[in-house]
Amino acid sequence: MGYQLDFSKVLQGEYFDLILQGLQTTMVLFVISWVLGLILAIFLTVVRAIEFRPTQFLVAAFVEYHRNVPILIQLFVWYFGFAVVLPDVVNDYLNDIGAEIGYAIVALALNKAAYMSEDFRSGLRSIHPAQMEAARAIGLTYLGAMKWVILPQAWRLALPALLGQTLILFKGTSLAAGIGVAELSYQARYVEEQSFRIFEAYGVVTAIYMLISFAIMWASSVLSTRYRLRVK
Amino acid sequence: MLDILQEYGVLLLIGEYPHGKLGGLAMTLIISFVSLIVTFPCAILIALARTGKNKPLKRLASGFVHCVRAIPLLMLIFWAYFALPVVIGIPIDATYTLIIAIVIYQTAYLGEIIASGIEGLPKGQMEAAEALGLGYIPTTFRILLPQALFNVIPGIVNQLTTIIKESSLGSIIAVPELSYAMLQVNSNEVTKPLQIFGILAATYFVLCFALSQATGVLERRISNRRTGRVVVEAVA
Amino acid sequence: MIAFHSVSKRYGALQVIHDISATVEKGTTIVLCGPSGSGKSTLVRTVNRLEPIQSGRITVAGRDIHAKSVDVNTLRSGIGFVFQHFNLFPHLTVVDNVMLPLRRLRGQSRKQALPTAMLMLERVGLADRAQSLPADISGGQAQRVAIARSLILKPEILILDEPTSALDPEMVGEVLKLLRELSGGGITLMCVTHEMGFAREVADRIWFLKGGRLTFDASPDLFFSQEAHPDVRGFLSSIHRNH
Repeated sequence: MGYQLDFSKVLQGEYFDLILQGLQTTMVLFVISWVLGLILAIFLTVVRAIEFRPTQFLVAAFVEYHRNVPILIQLFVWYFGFAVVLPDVVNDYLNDIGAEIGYAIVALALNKAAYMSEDFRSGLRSIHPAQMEAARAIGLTYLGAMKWVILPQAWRLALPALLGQTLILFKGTSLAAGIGVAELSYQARYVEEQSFRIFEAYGVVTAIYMLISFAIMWASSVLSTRYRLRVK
Repeated sequence: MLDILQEYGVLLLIGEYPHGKLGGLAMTLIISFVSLIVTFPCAILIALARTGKNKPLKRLASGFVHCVRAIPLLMLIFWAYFALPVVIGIPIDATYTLIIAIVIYQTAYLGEIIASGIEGLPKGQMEAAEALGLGYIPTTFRILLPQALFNVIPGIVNQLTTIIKESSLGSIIAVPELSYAMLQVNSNEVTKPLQIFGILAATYFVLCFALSQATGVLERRISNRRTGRVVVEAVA
Repeated sequence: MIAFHSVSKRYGALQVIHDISATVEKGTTIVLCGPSGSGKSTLVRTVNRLEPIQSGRITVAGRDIHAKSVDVNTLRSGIGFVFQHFNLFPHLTVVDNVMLPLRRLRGQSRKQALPTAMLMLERVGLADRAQSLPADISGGQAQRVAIARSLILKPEILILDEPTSALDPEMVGEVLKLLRELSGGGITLMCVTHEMGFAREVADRIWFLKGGRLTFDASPDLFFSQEAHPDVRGFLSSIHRNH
């Protein structure tokens, strides 16, 4: 075979810089999509809880779309499809400032919001109705009961699933490479193409992913244990 | 939209066959089913290692699962597509590398599901088999696995849905499946991306939604008929 | 203190309470008993409006509880309610459970509410379990915490819906002991229970319900005597047969 492993080319100089830039882009995608997704998920859960068939149906449709269509395709729909809706001037501007990342954030955030709202919903549903009754019997208002009794339990119950979604989101940022966002996977391939160091390039990037993933997995385990809800 | 379907319908369904390679939706389905079938025995091995008594084996399987779960599927695909041919010295068709990557990835997840299924069986099953003097292999294969696998049928169908969605990543390495076919149509018909990708999304939606409804039905029917835990999703 | 005036209640087509009229004098202890489905739990749950009624009037301290001027939350904070299945809040410690009404209804800070809560826990004998979570204490302990929580705002009325029915036999005693002490203390008590020994000891009056009607309302002496209503005697003998 005659292939000599040489990590030095990849671990320093411009290739390493590219990898670091990729990492930075990945983290930007990850964090912003996560925050936006979470906020939207809370909003969706509240909307769905209101007993109004049309809005409930809309939220359900939103969730089902994002659960049944591959994330990559969701990215395509936004990047290719939505751009057509915008006027040319806007598109030119967006392309100049590297708008792919914006589309990627939107797609990832919406996708995560769908999954997270389902997790919240099942967290809420698994709370026994007697809890609300007991909270009202004490004299709490409906909002007070939600704030002090129901929601504190709901988020604790939804926590393991939410943390699972966090890991999935982190790995999902790699799909942005499919629409040209220069995140970590994209840079891995670029560096490999340019430097011909296949194993080193992919090896380093894989190691970076694993490190961060393990960190997320560890944090998830610690948090789920700390906030585990045991019902009598 | 209809005109796109009319013009490219055949391409989208079966690719360039018979003038070229099979592709499109047919390819997506073939890749998905083949991946699932190849994953199946591997996942069972992982599950047995995870729930067995052999400590080193258990840790090995555990390590495998944790490592695979820490890597994005796309990276695995890159490894299989770019690195593997170099390692074994012969070129590999993109389609096979996609399948290999999906198999490795899903072995970890499906393995976890089956392991959950095994652990969800009442303890009495194992004890009864041991009391009868059955050795490890008969116990496992004739008593535990059949029940565990039956209980995780919804989980298996669910993973098939996931695999179908994951096959779309093949479009990044030019595997001629449905998404890649659509990308080609889009480069032809530059002005209609919304319709094109709308059709693409709708196709996956119909496929996966139908499967997830089937999963739900299966879950209910199996819950009624069996003891032990019915598993639908990979436990975190 | 509490008065029922021709109260009726339906669940859809099913009539659960038929035209019940009765009064509970201030400071007395009323025990409600009867066969399953007789409406006794439903009746006590109407007092704090956990169950709505279709006709009749219920007054507490002279005021119609369904009047527009009555705020349901104020009403409920003045009535202690204890559930069969305790219903402690699992995400809060024992002392946080007991403190909740003080903190969230009276706006007290943790510092202000803690001494009162600890005193109440001592009263029910669980001060040493203050930092435990509901999942880590026994059923009898949980029910005593629930009672402490219901009394923290010093209500004048305490309602208990089968407080010992979900407990293992060895824990029933500790809860009944607490209830006996409370009963003697001047609070107006309404308790749905199957514990007839308890009823005999502490009740000022016993109400027997059957099929949604208040069939018999009597002092314990009369209730357990030969002159009691035949349905009551049938009920009591069936309990004896099963014990």
